[in-house]
Amino acid sequence: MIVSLRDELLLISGTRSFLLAAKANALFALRIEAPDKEYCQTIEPSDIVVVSAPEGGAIEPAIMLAEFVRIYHMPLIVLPKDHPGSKRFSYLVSVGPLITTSCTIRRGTHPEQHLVCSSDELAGTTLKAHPDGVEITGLPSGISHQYVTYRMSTDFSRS
Amino acid sequence: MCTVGGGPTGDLNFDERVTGKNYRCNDCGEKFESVSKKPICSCCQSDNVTAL
Repeated sequence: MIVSLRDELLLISGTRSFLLAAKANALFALRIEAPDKEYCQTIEPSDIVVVSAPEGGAIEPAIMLAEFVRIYHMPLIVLPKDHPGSKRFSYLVSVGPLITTSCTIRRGTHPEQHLVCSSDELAGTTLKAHPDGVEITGLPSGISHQYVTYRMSTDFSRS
Repeated sequence: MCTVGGGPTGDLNFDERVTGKNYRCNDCGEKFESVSKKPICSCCQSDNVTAL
């Protein structure tokens, strides 16, 4: 299934978890801060950013996380394998041309960007960059998708 | 529920498979390690880089 995607966000919803996907729309070097070193991954405009919320929750943090990466090019932090903070992560992000969801990995501890932790109901879903958007395969039945747009405004006023 | 802390099948060891090459940017001098086939500078985004 090929889903058209340009600047908007794509929400893939299960019953208790979701994925949020967006096109990178820019060429940049994504810094990945692993426990023992920093390395870079070249992100192409056609690549996709995927945020996973294995337990669901509000969509706004997922939107912010996606935009941190694709607009502000914030680095990704990778925890050491047995770091106790792994279980605190409720939103995970991966960026690349091909991303597969998995429920058998430890959250936030793997630097490779072709996998992202998900719930079991969304596990096995693959999102692949496509010239028209994103190609989705392995999506379980009953999982819906819809576009998401948002507005953010900042007002400054003298106190 | 996503496995946290390792499941029955254990966890995959990704760290050992991440291998990058070291580069120096010819425009800004930044040294960096990239895992991509088309490395660009992590500082100035230039593709004018040399493998070290």
